[in-house]
Amino acid sequence: MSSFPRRSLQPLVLLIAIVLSGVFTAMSQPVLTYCEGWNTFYYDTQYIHTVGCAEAVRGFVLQFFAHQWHGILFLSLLAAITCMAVWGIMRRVKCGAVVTSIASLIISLMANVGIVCWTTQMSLSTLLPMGGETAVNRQFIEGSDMVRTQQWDEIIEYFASKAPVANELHQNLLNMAYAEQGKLGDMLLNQPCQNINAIYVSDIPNYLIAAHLSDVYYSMGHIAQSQRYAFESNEKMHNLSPRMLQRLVQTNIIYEQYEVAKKYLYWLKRTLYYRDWADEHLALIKGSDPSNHPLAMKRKCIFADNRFSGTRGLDDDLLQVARSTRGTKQCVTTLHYLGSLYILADYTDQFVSMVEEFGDVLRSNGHLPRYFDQYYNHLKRQ
Amino acid sequence: MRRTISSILFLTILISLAACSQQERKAKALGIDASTFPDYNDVTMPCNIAPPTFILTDESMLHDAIAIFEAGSTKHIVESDGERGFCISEADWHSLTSHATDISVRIQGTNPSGEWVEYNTQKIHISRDSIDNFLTYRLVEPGYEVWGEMGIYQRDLQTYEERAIITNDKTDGGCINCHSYCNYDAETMSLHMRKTCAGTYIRKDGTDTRLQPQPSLVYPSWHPTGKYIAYSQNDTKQLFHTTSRNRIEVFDYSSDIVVLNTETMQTFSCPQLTSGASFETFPSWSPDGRTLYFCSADSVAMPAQYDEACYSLCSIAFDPHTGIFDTKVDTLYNVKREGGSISFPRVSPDGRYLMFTHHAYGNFSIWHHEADLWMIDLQANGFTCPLVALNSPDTDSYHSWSSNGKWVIFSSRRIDGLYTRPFIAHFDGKGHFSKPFYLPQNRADHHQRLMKSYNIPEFTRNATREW
Repeated sequence: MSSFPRRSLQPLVLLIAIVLSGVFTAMSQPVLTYCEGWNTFYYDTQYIHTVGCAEAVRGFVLQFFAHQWHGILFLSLLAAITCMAVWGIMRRVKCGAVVTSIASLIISLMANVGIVCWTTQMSLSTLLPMGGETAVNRQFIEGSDMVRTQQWDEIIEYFASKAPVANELHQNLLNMAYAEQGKLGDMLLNQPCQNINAIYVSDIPNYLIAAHLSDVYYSMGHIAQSQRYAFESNEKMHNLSPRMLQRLVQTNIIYEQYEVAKKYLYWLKRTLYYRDWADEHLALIKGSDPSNHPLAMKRKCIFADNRFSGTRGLDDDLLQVARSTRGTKQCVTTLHYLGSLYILADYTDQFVSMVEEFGDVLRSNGHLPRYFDQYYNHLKRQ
Repeated sequence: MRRTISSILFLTILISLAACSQQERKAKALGIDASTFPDYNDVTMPCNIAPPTFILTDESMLHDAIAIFEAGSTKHIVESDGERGFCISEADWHSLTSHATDISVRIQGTNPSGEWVEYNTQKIHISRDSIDNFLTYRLVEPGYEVWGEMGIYQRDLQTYEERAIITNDKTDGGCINCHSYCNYDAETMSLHMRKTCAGTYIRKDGTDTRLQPQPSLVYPSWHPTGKYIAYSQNDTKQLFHTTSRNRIEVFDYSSDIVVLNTETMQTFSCPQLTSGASFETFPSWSPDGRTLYFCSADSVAMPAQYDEACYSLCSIAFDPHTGIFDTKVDTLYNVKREGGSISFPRVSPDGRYLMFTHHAYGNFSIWHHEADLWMIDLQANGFTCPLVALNSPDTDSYHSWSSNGKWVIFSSRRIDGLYTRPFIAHFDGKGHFSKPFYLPQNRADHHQRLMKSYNIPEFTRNATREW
């Protein structure tokens, strides 16, 4: 009598455990994907020796979130195994069907939550979309994930539902998406942007913000600064953050430092999810025609007039980038950043000079971008 | 029955092992040199160093590759690992080096059509001049400013054993640098730390002393008596190039040289070493302790004139008994006349040769791809020349002599242009160096895997206690 309900309940309980785990993991997925950028699994004995067993296990779980559905499936499978194991134990101790079912469900779900919290090292409030301070972090994480995959439309759509965007990091992400689409000059002051921190934050309290700045500078076309912050951020992660290694491969290829790029590719080839990316970039280094590759376009950002980054002002560096990339999409992106920085810093002469030099690039249908036009006309009236 | 099964099992294992073990084959000579990394062909190695490991980098040629190490009647066959690496065991290596002056290395394998072929024989020359037992260096990421893990490590050169002397996870993540030894004695040393443990630390006569002078004491050089340590006090900054291949520029806003008396723990100097009109840095004592070599440049506005700061090589006489410097400064290499800029003067233990790093400008040569090693013969009217045998197209910089003056170790970025690696070369005592070799490592792909640079390699005779 007691075995009948158990047999019929087991598949149902298993299914519920998988669904519950899948839903929770799916809700946490952006955070897990974000964390995967810092820690993946390297199929290499020295990696385990370097980072220790705990980090290696974290990396093993996180690696699957390089592809979001693989990660969700992996953790759901883990929940199913936990559920079956608990079911087996409960059956041995001859518990009732209802108790067995509830215990199996609760323990498998708790195990799933525990694994997600441990691998991300974040609280439940950050993992699940909730309000308050944790929501701010969550929004940055989701935005940063989209920056990594260059989903510019999605970033704009995401933050449109959260307007007004007052947080400076969020503004950075949104403005990056606008700049990449050549719309920053039209959209800059739609959000409460107070100063140049709306474009790039100046305070760098940790390696996560350093990585964020690497993204911003890469988008601007300031490759030296992007490389600098990627390197700094990667140092903190035992030099094995896949996200930063990818960026360093890009910047070193841009600078034609192929032997250094190979060093980072050596490690990326030892992963499950970056192997193909590494092979593609190795082929690029070994002589495939790079002329149409995005990195070849970025190489134009390396301007001839060497100087120390920022010592003549970031704006002057960007002006050089715009000059050396004239005729490319990067030039438009850089000019949108530059014009926005001039407006936010109220650098009037430099703004007018930029418009006069690059008016042909900035004008669309005879008009400057909205806020550039307003500022320019305002200055002309003065 | 059980005995029969055990016998069958034993025989199976034995046959499997026999089938797996490689042996030398009759192979067709390819007539070309094997492409191996690191390159140990035609290098001279000390008889007491750990075995070299290397990778066959020619991916198209050989499968099932073996390396046959041979010296006289002794022969060892080493199979390549899964990544084409060859690692001869320490015991086998030392059995070869114990008597031989040359070790030949032949690499055989099958080509894509299954035929056994062999590359040209490589030679490794073995010198009876032994090398000091230990090497100390800092492992640190090449450049940048925050969050780095670093440490000072000591390597037993006869084996691959590497041991941390101090790591910055014990010092609140602060920078640790400037390790220096007196007369190659690991128990008499100095190092410097920043952040919460900031200070210059001196280990002498079994006692560790912490000093906190301002500005801090860097680039130490121990006087051979152990009574004095010459330091430089530098106001150093770094900036990042936008375009230049030299990613980073490190420069001084000011610098002076002072000497610490390790008995009184008081510093002293002289006007010639602390002039406001010039930057003085990189002090280095002669082996007899009667001359202090240093580098000096006219002070220029930094960072605007960073590429106009060119350091000449100078010296000043010193009386170790009175602790007083002479008033006259000699210029051994005048950059205004001869061009370039000088850093890291180091005199050979016999006092005859002075090796230094020569680069285009400035004083932080590791970020200068044009940096090369040069040497002055102090007994031959200061004859100065670049060390062609040691230099590469990339950075060749910080160097140290072994205690017997027969070996020199230096830092080079010749492999990839960024991550500094230690290379060792034999010196014949008459101004000639052999081809340098990469410090032997326990893995053939060590360079690819290590994400840190070797910094300030220094020999010692004995092991250092942990700090």
